[in-house]
This record gives sequence, C-alpha cells and structure tokens, in this order.
Amino acid sequence: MSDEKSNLSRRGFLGAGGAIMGGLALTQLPLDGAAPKGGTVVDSTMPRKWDETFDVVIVGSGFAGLAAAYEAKKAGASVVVLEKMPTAGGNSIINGGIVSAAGSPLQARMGIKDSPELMAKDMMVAGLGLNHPDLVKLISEKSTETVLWTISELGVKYLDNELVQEGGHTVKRSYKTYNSSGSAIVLPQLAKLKALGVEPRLETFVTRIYRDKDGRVKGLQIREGYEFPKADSGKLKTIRARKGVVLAHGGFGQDVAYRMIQDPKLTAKVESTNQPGATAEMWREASRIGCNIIQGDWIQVGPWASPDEKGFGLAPHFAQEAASMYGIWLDATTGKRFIDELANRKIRADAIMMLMNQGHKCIAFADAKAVSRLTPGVLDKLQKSGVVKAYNTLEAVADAYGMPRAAFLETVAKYNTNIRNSDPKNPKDDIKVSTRLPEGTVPLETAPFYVSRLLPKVHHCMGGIYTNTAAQAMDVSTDKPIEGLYAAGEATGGVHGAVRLGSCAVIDCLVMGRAAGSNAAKAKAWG
Amino acid sequence: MKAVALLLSLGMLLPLAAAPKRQPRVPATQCATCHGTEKVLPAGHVDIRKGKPACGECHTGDTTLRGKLPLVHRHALAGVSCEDCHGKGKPSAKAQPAACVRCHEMEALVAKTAQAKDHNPHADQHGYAANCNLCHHQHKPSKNYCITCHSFNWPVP
Repeated sequence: MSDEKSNLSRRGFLGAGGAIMGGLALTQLPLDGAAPKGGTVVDSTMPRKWDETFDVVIVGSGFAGLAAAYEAKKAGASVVVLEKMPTAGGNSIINGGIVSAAGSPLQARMGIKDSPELMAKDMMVAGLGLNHPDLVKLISEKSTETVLWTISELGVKYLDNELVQEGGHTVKRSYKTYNSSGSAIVLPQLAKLKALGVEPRLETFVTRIYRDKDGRVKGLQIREGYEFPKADSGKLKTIRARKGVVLAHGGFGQDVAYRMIQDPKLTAKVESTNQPGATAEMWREASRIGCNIIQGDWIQVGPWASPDEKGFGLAPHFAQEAASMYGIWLDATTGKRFIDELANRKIRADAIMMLMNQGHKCIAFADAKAVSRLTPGVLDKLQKSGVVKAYNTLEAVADAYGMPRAAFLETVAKYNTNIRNSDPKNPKDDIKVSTRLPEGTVPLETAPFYVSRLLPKVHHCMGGIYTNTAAQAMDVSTDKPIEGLYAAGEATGGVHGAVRLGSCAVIDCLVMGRAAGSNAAKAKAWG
Repeated sequence: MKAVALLLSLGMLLPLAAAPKRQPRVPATQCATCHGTEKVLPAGHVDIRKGKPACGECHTGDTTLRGKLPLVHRHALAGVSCEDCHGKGKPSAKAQPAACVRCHEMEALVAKTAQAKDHNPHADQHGYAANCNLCHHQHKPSKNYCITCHSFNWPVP
C-alpha cells in the first residue's frame, strides 16, 4: 500500500510539473516525439506530411468502434479501425453477452410490459440522476430497433425464449446471446466489416490526436507494430482523418495508476474483470486536446465476480442469472441475507466490500431449478473449474462455508415462505423490494444446491468524454462540438451516471457507435 | 541419467541465450552460423548434426523439449525454412497464420486438443485461435495467451 501511494504521489507530482512546463513551451511540438508533456489544448504543429489518409479513423475495436466502422463504411466513407492489442474486440469480446431492449418482440411474446420510458427511468434511478437525460432517452428509444438490427443485419443469435433481469431493471428486458458472451456480437461485426473490406489494424497504438489551430481534429499519430505495453515499441506514422476521428477506446479498468487518481480506493489489490489493454492513454490524450471528461470517478465494481477465477470469468452468469434472479446471496459468516439481490451493482458491491472489510465472506446460492435458467454448458464449465460447487443438502452447504446451520436453514425457509405465499405471476419477497421479481421464481428446495463465492471486481468506467446525441465530442472550453471528433461507448460519459445497469453498456455502445460512424461519414471533409 | 539431465537443461538455456542472427538457408544443425561461438548446448551433448531423428532418441516422454525450445528450432529440424513461413526476401513482419495452416490444418488441431483440460484452446469463442501468433512464438518462448483472462494451464508448444 505504501508503495502504491508513493508511486501515485510521484506520478501526480510529475503530472503537475509537466503541466507547468508545458505552459511555458506550447508551440514546439516534435513531429516524431511522444505525446507532449504539457497541457496544450491545440497542436500548433501539424505533421508536415501524412503517411495515410482515410475519411473516418476509428480508435478501438469493441462494440462501439466496430458499429461506427460499419455505418461509416456503409455510408461510403473510407474507414480504418485501429486497435492497440494483438486481438480485436477489447472488453466487448469477453463481455457477458446480454443486451437491453425496451418493448421488444421477445418481451411481447413473454407477456412482459415495458417501454423506452420505463427503461430510461430505471437507468436514471440507478444513475442517481447524474445521467444526461437526452442520451438516456435516445438509447432507450433506439434499444429495440438496434437489437433487431444486430439480428437482421449482423446475424447475431440470441436465445429464443429467455430474457435476463439484471439488478436495477424493473422487468426482464435483456436479450441473451446464445453463448453468453459478447463475442456472439463482435465476431459477426468483424465478419460483416471484413466483407466490406475493413479489418482492424491490430497492434496499432495511438500516441497523439492532432487538433489544429482552427480547433478541428485532423488526424492521429500512431505506433504501428506496437507491442503492448511497451510504450516505445512500433514505428511512428501519421494518419489523416478527412472527415472525422471516432474515439471508441473503452475504459481504464486495468489502469491502476489512472483509476486511483479518479478513485483512490481502487488500488491494485482490487482485481478487475477487464482485459489487460483497458488502460488510460487515450483518456489522457482526449483530456489534453480539450475534450470534456465527465464523471471519471464513477467506476463500477461488479458484485458478482469470484475470487476463484481470473477476470470476469463465468461466475457472474451464475451469481446473477441464477442466484440473484432465482436464488439468494448470503453473508456466510452469519448465514443471513445481507442485500436485495436485484439491487443495482453499486449497492451490492458496496455491501459485500463492507462485509469483507469486517472479515466476513459472501456467497451466491441457487438450487437446481434456478441453475436450469443458465445458458447450456455454463454450469458444467463453472463446476469443472471449481468456481461453482454443488451440494446435496442445505446442511452440507452450511458446513462447507462455515455458516451457522440453524441461521442458514431459517434464511432459506423464510425466503421459501415468502415465495410460496405470493402470487406466482407476481412473486414477492421481503428483501427483494427494489424490483419486481421475475415470474417463475419458486422456493429454493430442489437439490442439488449450488454456491459461488463473491468478490467485487473493477468493471466499468461510467464517466468519459462528454458527447451530444450526435456522438460529437464536446470541447471543455466552449461546450460546443469539437469539429472532426466523435466518441462512443465506454470512452464516453453521461449515459449511465453513478451506476450503470447491467446490459445497458452494450446497447449504449451499439446505438452511439452507429451514430458516431454515420455522422462522421456525413461530415464535411477538410483538406 | 546424466545425459538426460543435461538434455533437460538444454531447453532452459536456449531461450535465455542472446537472440541469434537469422540466417535463411542454413541447415538447422549448423548452430554456429546463428549462435556464433556462444555455447548453446550443454557440455557433453551428443552431436546433433544428424538432425531431428537423432534428437528424438533422447527427447521423448519426460525429456521432451515441448514448450521449452523456441519453435523455430523444431521447424528447422523438420526441414521448414525461414522462407516457408516468411516468404522470400528478408523476413520483416510476423509470419501470417495462413503460413501455419498450410501444414497445421485447423480442424486437425481442434481435434488434437479436444480433450484439453478446461477448454479446447483451438476452439475458443473469441476467435483468437485463428491467430496462431498469439500463443505460438518461433523466436522466443511460446506463451499461453488465454491466461491473459483465464486460469487455464496448458503447455504451449
């Protein structure tokens, strides 16, 4: 801890010093150097020549970047997608594969009443009103249309008769990909783009955004052949963006130094669900050229992860889709429930961290009927890896996790009584009060019983570049769009406010990514 | 036994050796052409100029060099030249996966690793298996790319 603090202090000190020095020497920025140290908003030095030119240059190859690339290419623009990692897809390809859609045909088929207004309300309630209503409205309104677009145009396959109710949603509204992974969306995106002649350029790291004296973003400096995380690897080149640059570079969940600047509690001891490339270089660069970065300290910690596997893993599927929706979460030290299992992620993660700080351990618990809701194959993998364990009796569960037997049996009995005494079409429980329980909730009494241990992990950056509904990045000085610069996805802020609801990031990325790509393609070219 | 111990240590020594100059069209058994006078084989190692069949006499079972010896040696010993993977001229960029699957047919690889613990590395749902270079390195030790996010423990040739 002391080392982490001293590193942080040193970094902070150097940053402040750099800003002062930069103020003294704004104009002599080398063409071939690394990003300037100081706080310039515009580059007075444009490259003398550009190595390559495209209409639309996209940074990042996740849901948002690929959606932007697809729309821009379809609109007739020449497009390049830049990805610093050796693989495409970023966090999106390891995402859990659920997408929210309000008022969808699948909801209608399942008799679930929903509307974009209700989805927007759910997002705003969890977001503590920090969400920008115009962005929330747009995304909610376009949610169903966009999910149907992934089916009809990209060929994405979702489960036919299953919807997920993530914490904080008042109804089941999230489509679930056939393999419980965002790869079911990213791979079709990549395939469609390849058919259009666009393949992400991997190991291509953006070192600089060129914003000219006239205020317009005109291109990027890159390192081609970059080997993550070696800052000076690869060959420097410049790329001109005639119409626009789209920043879809994602969040910084794996960047301990940057996330501790935003939220000092999130030290290296807090694991992350993110892929290792979720680092903050572009956040710093977007700030440097004058983007307004908002709400950067709202960093979501996912409550459903497990200490028994790396990263996001598969435990969240069990803990959410079985144990939250159709089961219960317990403080293993007391054998009692400690939270509304369908509350939003922040409420649940905070509750677990508070208990962990007292030396308690928390578990997610489900029975055989609850796990039957999981995507085929998921439970098998979770059991093989030992992340989820099965027990034939409730007593065996109590003993395995050191729970007081009587308290645990009483907890389960109380929950079962609540469910048994309520209307099956409108099940009720005295702890799950913040949301409507999913229809089909039944008492927890069918062996075998299943358990995963819970460990909150850094998951999603709610803050980011402030954009308008046209996905234009806004200038920190003028509150007006920065000409030639668009942004979408986790790189942006204002959509989710304080707490992002599960499955809302994917729809945010797709809706705003498409907007960014098509609007960039429509922009007037310079030069 | 002594010979086996020496042979085992060979795999540990080679990846640590200074990167040799790459010399197209040099027989795999001419170590000095790339490594110069640097000693890369353990003292007393048998003459390897007989090529791959001779290596196989010792390096079997527990003494395998799998995952320890840079793959370029295995390829060279099997008669694969630099040009076979990199094309003609001075090797520049990484060899493309298309070069790998000319010999290592993808379906066969999927079948070969179908029983791997936890998950089949050649049938991942992220599509990473299509990029052989992520795990299989020729000029440096290979690395299990999957453990970037997962805890799979596979030896990677």
